[in-house]
Amino acid sequence: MTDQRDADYSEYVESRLPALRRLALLLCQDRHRADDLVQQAVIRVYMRWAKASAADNTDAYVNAILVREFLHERRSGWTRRVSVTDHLPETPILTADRDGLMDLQAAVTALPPGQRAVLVLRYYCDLNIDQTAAALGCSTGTVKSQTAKAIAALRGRLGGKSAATTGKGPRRA
Amino acid sequence: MRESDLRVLFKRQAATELPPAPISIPAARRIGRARLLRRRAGAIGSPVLAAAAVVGVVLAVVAASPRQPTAQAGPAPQRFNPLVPYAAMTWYPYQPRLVGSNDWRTTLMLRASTPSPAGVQVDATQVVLYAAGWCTLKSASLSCGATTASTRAQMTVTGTAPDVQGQPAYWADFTGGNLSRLRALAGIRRVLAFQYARGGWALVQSTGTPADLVRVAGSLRYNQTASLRFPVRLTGLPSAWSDVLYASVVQPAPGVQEPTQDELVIGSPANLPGTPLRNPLTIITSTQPVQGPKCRIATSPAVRAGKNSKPASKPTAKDSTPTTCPSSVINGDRAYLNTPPDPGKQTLFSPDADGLYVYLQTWSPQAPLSPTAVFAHDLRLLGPDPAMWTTAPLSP
Repeated sequence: MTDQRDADYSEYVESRLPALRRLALLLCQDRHRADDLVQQAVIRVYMRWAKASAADNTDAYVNAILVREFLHERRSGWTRRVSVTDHLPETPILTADRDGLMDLQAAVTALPPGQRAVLVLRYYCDLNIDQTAAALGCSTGTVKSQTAKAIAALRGRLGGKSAATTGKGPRRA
Repeated sequence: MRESDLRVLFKRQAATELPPAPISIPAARRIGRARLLRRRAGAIGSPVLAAAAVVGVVLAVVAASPRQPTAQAGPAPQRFNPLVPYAAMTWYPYQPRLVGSNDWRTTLMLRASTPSPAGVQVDATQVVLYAAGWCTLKSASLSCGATTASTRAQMTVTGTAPDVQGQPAYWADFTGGNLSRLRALAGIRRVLAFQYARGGWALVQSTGTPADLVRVAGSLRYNQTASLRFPVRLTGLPSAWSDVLYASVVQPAPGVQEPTQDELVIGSPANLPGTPLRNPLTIITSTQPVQGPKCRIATSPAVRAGKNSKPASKPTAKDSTPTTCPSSVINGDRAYLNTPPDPGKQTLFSPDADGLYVYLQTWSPQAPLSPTAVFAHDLRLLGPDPAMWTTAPLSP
């Protein structure tokens, strides 16, 4: 890669890092894993910089790299070796959460990676079904079914509660 | 649950203040370039080109170290999450009474020990894992950890050890750093060093034999069946206390009756690993309630007013009797407030709050809240039953 293309790559990644970190945070629901994911993703961006820089929408192309790296990393060696339980510590019944969004966050964290990725692309990145399918490299039917399953899983976990802000709860559980 | 709730959640999470990025763009270029080179060498199918590429990589690596470990699948994490148990020892050279881990964001320390009645640990085994990039192997010198960290270690490689889980391992002797001075293993200079994952080094120390060290290293496992659980939950803390910088759990070995002790250090996401802590909050809990208070209070001689008055002496500390130890009842629990001689520090402890010993400490006059305020308003106690504890002790 020429020095100019290296410089272009570095400038682009530097400017996009905050957005990539935010996207990674929503996917991983863990800041440390998110930074690991971004580091791996920007390596892949370097390897595909010719295509990325020539794409109609470089940002969308790079986001797709990040999302696919997220899904690949969840299936690959490191996370298989470092298997952290996805058990959640307590149910909403036992504790009075100060903010119902915490319950929703816990429920999102418990979703399988594919469903979580679909929700982040559709409700944070505001991609439509076709765009989401292109980013994930799957069919629109898969996107629809993953979305439906994710929403159903969240509603099943949370019941009919809305993520309304409540007052501070009692000190004891 | 409405779909609009998801947008609110994601928007709020995305607005979270993030600490400085540990992402390295030069490293991304370097690694990406190396992978492209290997890929092209393989695609071209030229044995000469492929051999040249391999030789180039090997020569570069050999020049940097006496023996290049074969990289394992998967990289070591850039940072540890202090609340996540990444690894565990599954064999010890003796039967420990206490096992535990403590985890800064750049190091994970696993320990198994047998304390004597005097409190001095007579048998101990310790494994320290460093996050990616925190150890450097050059020639026969291995350096690990941040300069000022308690887990800083400088070692001289003295020889090769038997492979650990298929990876090359080395014997090394401590030559400096704080890790060599940790009380339990003070005076034990020999270390077994190996890469537990690509870019991440592990150091094994023990009061056992060299063969014990090799076996301990081989017993390391990266799957955990339970996350760390804590008997407290903190909510509504200010942004200066929105990140868990350190977590420690000490619990009895199976079949042993000992109390559990947990410690959390809470700070700002802007507090970079390897740098001095800025205004942290420390919380220590134990399932063994303390019988009776024994607090230390600061005393200073009275200053005589007038032009010939002498300046006040530096405050000293003395143990106070229960009747004079300042205390109050907060949310139904007796709490004792200390102001140690160190300027700015404040501590509060409750010997028995819902069956737990609780200790809080702030370290600076600029602390955003006092320990009393945290204990009264922001701390939820989950009792002495670990089944009721949380893996998320810090909530927004």
